[in-house]
Amino acid sequence: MARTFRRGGVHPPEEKQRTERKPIETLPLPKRVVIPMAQCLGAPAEPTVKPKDAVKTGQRIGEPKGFVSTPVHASVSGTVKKVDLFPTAVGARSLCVEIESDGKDEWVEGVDLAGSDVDFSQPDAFLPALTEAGLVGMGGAAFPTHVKLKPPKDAQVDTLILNGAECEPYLTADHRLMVEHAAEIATGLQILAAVLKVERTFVGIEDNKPDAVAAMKKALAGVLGVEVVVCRTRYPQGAEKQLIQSITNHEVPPGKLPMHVGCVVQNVGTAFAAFEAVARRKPLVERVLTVSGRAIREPKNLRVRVGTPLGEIVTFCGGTTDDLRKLIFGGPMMGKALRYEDVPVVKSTSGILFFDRQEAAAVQEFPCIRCGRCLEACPQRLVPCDLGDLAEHGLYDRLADAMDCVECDSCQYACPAHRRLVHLLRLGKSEFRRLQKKG
Amino acid sequence: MLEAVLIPAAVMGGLGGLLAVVLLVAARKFAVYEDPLIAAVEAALPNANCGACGFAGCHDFASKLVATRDEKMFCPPGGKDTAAKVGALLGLQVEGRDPPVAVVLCRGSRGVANYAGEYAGLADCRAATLVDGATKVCPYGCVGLGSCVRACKYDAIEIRDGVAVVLPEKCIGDGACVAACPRGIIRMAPRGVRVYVACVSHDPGAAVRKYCKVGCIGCKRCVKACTFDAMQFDRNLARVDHDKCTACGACVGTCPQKVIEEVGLTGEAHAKAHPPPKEKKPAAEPTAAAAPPAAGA
Repeated sequence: MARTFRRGGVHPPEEKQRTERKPIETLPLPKRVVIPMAQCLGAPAEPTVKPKDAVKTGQRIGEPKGFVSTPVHASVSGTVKKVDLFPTAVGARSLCVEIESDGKDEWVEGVDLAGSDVDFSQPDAFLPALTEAGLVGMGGAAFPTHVKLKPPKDAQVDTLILNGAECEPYLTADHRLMVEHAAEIATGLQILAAVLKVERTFVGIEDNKPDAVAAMKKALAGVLGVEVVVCRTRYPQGAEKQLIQSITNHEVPPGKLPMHVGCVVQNVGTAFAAFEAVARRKPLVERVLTVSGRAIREPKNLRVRVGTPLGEIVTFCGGTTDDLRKLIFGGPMMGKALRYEDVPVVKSTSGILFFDRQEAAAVQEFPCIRCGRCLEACPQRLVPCDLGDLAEHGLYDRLADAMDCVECDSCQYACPAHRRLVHLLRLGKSEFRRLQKKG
Repeated sequence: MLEAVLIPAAVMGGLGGLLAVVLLVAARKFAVYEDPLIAAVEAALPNANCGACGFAGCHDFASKLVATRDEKMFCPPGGKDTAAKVGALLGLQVEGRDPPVAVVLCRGSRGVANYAGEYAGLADCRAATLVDGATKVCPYGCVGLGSCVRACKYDAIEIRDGVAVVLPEKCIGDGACVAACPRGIIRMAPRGVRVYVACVSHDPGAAVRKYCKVGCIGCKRCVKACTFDAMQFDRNLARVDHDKCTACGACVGTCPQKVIEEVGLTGEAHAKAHPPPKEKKPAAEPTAAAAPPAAGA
């Protein structure tokens, strides 16, 4: 029987049928890329190139600042045009390096694009390779991978969980990656396990992806200590804390991190990138993402260079319909709605969704009717309706509980009054943090 | 029959008297001495408990002032009058200032600023900036969802056509709106006659033109027009130094974007700030041509 987390969750329409059987296509090399320096959940990188510099694909163009920061690499070869502020998905004006492609796609020396051998006798070389490749969590949060792989000494990590749940509706990028690149992900998993020195590893996949389960089981057959766990299709199955609960039955205590229950969770996309970083010495300059929604003519799974402007992707996917009403970077539950601007793809962009009028329908909000459905839906055992009330009335100092909210959107999905609970909680969390800083 | 009334009355009365004595003794014995000056100073303050001075209310301010006798401490809403009264009580030469007034450094109202998209989130500026900052294209300007309006206890700020406007006669200068604004476009400025640049964008002119018709494009005309060196210029944005500005109005009239705002200019200064319209037409320089003359009116 498929395993699942104990409490809460919702099951929105999956909407994956548009792309789940479409093989990953590679987007033609973009003419220009705009690569943001802020691509991880930490300090932005510092640009190391100036306009008119010639760069090769994979060349480092951003130096990390501090430990919780990752380097940024050029994703095409060509000439640097500008180092300036551009609109991106993270902010209206964020520091980026614009590179005009020369169309040759010349890689830096040392990259072996066909490499597949990993020397497991020297696991100490893995972490520096991953750090150098600029790996971040590819599920969406973009937490620097090397930080996650170096838990503090007091944390006893004994379990690595590979997250292939992909619980967000519409998104199928991880799904296709598992089907098409199971062997590489399997090697990536072993690399990550070797870095963490753990014996026990799991791969969690929702039961709506039987072909991915079969592919991963086949690729991991004969590898000791790995179990492919089939999880129930239930949102937010792929949230770190929920997946840990589903697989290990441990609940991450409020305010604590997965490492406190001995777990590290990594996305399958990250495992694939880890494989490429070690076996091919290839930095993270491209990723697989899903382009979907009713307002895009040809939904696709695409392999895209980091920094590719949105316009090129739209053109490749046949353009948008006239009924485009909403553009989302990420999934429909936790992704970010953007204004239609030519923003670039970043390392953490798992999907780009184009919603039509029906999908983006903004419903009218009504007062809370105290039905308690948000309580049942919350996987974090919170009381979203009350926390939302507190935030709405500016009582931010009482929102300590809200800090445990993962903004998974389940409460808002379940709310029959269509209250904007997640937005309220997000506001409350940010104000609570501000109050705490003030002391 | 009478006893039923008298006994309880006597008991209650006696009890009352006894407790009164206890309270009297307690009040004498446990009295905390407080400088009577504090009460006097507090009485001279406006007692709005607004917190603009940085202390937790007027009593706190009064006790700190009496304890430190710091001539620099002052009550912004009270202004010069209060400062004089407090100064007389403490025997200090307290140099008061008139209460400052909040100024919104954005005039990007509907029809002037460019809008894009549709915002369906919470009607709160802070919440909007957490996502994508509502619908104005300009990433610096007034969000227009009224967080400042809700923060002001004195109804001294309101949203007109998507941009916050301060009502100076109601503003007491406590700065509550300044703290509430997530974009940081509300500043405190000296009261009375003054000139200021109503824009905070440091972006280059070409970018600003895409945001709004009344954004500072960094053309430096005001800097050249100013004969008192009061126009500071930093990364494509002009700013008035209120210590040097004489409110002559020269910069106001010269600004092609009409982004320099003036308050209370009279006489010659007013004429300079509002040059007759015929001057505008022959102004065929490229920067002036792009700004529709009717926009700022």
